[in-house]
Amino acid sequence: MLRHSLHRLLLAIPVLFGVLLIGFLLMQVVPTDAAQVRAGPSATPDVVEAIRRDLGLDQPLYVQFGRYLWRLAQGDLGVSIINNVPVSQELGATIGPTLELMAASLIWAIPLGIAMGTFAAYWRGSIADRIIMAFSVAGVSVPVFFLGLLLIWFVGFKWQLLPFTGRVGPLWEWEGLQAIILPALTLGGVFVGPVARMTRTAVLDVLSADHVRTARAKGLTERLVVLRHALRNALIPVVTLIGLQIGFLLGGAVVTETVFSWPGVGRLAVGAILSSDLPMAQGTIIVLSAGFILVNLLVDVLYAGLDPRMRAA
Amino acid sequence: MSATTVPNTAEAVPPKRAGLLARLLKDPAAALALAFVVLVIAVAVLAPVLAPSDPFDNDLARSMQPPGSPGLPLGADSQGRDMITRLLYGLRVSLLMGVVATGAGGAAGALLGFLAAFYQRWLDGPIMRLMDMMLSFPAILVGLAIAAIFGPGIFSVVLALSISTVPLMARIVRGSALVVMRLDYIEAARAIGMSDARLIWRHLAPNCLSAIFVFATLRFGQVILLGSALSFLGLGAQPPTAELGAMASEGRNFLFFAPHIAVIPCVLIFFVVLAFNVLGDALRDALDPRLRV
Repeated sequence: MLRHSLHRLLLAIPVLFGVLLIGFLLMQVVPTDAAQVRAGPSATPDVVEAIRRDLGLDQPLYVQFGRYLWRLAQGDLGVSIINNVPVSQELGATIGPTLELMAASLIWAIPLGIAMGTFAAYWRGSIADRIIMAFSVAGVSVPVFFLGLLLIWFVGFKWQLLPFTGRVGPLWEWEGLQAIILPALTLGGVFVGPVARMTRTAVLDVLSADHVRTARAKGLTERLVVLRHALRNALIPVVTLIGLQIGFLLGGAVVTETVFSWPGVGRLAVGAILSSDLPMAQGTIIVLSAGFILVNLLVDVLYAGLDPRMRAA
Repeated sequence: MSATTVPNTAEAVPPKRAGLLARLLKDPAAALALAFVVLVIAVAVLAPVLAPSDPFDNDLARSMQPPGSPGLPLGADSQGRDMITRLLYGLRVSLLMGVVATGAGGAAGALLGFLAAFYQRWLDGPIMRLMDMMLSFPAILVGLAIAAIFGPGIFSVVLALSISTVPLMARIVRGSALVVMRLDYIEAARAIGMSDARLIWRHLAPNCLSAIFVFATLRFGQVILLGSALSFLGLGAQPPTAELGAMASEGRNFLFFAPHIAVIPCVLIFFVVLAFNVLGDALRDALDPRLRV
């Protein structure tokens, strides 16, 4: 267990280093001179040179990279070019809403997907199975923004049932809770299909296993056989696969946040790129990537904890 | 006994291969998907011939005309441009983005996969570790990073989608090639002194084609979906270029007055991606059931 975790951690380090390097190079390849930008258009060459020295931009790249890592380690991600607010401050304000949105989406999408997948596997080949599988293929084919726009148009605008104007308050307030429903339905909606599909495959595998046959032979009720003997074993691969789909969820979150004006990291990143706010773009991309790598690492380690067979692999 | 069975199995393979289309058509969903894919490709290729007007031909007098208006079966967008024309050209751009990204990323990935499998002793480890690292980045993050470096545009999206296709294809091809590598005829080809490059090209690659083909079909649908999402975010095709995701994004501002501007491109993206997914699944079942997940 410990060895496996260490191995995974060692693999994650170069990846994380790569992320930081890409983030650093991002600022190098862009054909704008940071010193010139900082100095303003009317600055004399002397002033620009002074600022360049001040920012350390006259140093060799590896020295700059070292300084950049040092600043990162202190939580300093630079300052936005657009509004002069520290990047870390903006990130701190947006991470919460993004996590909220993801949690609110997964909390209904995963149980529903697992229930649908189990049902489809048990009634394999039936009409219900075919409908669930068709739904699942449709689910991975629908653009997230389409789902969002449909919900806004019907539920929000035409029927006026729920708000669609972004985050209006914390979740424990009634308005805040209402506001997250449509975004969570959108983001979760594209997640149900893949989860159902993965669960169906996993349950089908387990249903033909010896221990399930034994359980049936002992005369257990079908309910117990499916829920306690089949599903419980099928859940291990499903949990891992869900963990590995976090990238998919992240992509969906970026789009969902944009559609619903949800003040999360994804929307911040897109806005920063569109307004050429490089420090902000760099900071958001680094944080999103690092978060993603961390989640993958956690899933890997958890998986080894759940399933001893994995540790040898 | 064995002398008679060997030619029999050898003969049994070609008719099965020739029957691929027949087997695909047996499944109504797959047949429908195939027909739709063929139609979509034909329409996209013929867009300049089929389009009733110019995609940039705006006429503010017909701005936001609903579908069914005189001369505008699918209505007009906010600039008064004919929706049918925009959709035809948009489809063309979206499909082309998909073809280039799947092709370039797929080719690079396949090459790396072959090299990893063929030179297993010294290339497999480094190549596959690199692929693992690339897989650590979701496509949307690659898209964001590339758009930040090169600026928003079609080039950035295609580059991002190509890059995120490479490790996926490399994994599929490596797995498929490793199985083929264990077969006797590879050993035989080596024994007669065939060069590595020729061995990969003539014997290894053709036997991995079905896996490559199935994956490329499935990936194509995902690439279209991701590309449209990046364009919707404003990171891809820029106005006034007609591209399905960008059209949906433009239409979003007029959702409450003229929903058709956003909805029609979305519906088209959905059906194109759905068709490629259904077709890819059917191809996988027909060609290479081992790939089933």
